[in-house]
Amino acid sequence: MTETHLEHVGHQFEDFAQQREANTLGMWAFLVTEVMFFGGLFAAYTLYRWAYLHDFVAASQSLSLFWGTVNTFVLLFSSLTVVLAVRAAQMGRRKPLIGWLIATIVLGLAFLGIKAIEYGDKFAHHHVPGPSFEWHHAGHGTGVVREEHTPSLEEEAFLQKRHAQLFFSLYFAMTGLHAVHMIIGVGLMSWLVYLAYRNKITKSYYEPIEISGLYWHFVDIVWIFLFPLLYLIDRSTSHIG
Amino acid sequence: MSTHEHANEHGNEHHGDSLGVYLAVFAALMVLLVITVVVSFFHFGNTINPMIAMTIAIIKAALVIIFFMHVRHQTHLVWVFAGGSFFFLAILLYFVMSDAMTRDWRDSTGRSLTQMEVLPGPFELLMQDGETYPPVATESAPQ
Repeated sequence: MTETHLEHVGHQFEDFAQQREANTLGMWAFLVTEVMFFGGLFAAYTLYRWAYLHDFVAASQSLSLFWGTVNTFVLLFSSLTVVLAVRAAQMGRRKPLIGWLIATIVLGLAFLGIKAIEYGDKFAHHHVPGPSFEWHHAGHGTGVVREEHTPSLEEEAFLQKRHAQLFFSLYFAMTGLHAVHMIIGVGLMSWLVYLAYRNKITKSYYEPIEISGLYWHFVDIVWIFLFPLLYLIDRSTSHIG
Repeated sequence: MSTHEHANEHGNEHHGDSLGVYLAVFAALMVLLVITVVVSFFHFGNTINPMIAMTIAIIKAALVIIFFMHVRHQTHLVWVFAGGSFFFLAILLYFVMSDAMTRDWRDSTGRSLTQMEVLPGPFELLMQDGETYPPVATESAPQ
């Protein structure tokens, strides 16, 4: 029994191989736009980390290294489960396919749950940018050295608070945008579970799994960069408290 | 039932890797994760530490792209798309930073700053609940 209604060659393609390559290129073209989407935030982050390194170090140290590391592990593991799902689809094995897809969903939800815990912490400590923002920490230096001008204590505290608030603005923007992508990814994976459950994925037609997998891996890669940039600026000394 | 190793009528070459390869890549990712966390506890310098962290991140991303995203089995056109995205990101970062880092930053009184310091605007001061800049150390100053 060969595939009939699920996959056919579009009239604009020469053959299946070209169609599949076009599908892959289409997803990669989208991922290129996503790189630039996050790239803007990474550029802002790079600029302000250069400008206010001392305060960025202090703010970064207030993030939970434990939860950040756990989340990185969770996402790396989920990339493995995705690729194992693709492999199961390639081998035409429906139950493992569904199993690995569900594992991916569970890991994605775990990531989001941990993020919710971290965000809750931020709210509790008044580290959310805006009128409620508070920042107290010892240590001198704002990273802005002025010629012939020593900043007063109040000025220093003002600037430190300002720069810390900038860090947290970038933190929420970058991890928030990433979390939105995760939610979309979990939705995609759920749709794939449905497709697999309804026997629409076979050994010769597993395109949706592969292409959605590309999206999921991209979201993982974004976090691979977010984690060291936000959590691991400098853990060698304590700058807070 | 034999597994198809040649292209079937749908042109689907079995372009996956073996389970062993995936597990090995995952193990490598775990090792790199541990290394990157441990390195952050040592201060090698304000340029060296981020360079190490970014090198490790780039290696991890490359492993995911080449093996998990199957790019190693794809056509060269796909390689161009995948690599091109980072090329454009590099352009963005390069010009933003080379501009900012080579400016002669000054504050509103003309004092020279060695780094960037943008003065707060009215909206920001409003958000800070009436704080002034430069701060005034009086009894009525907000906490």
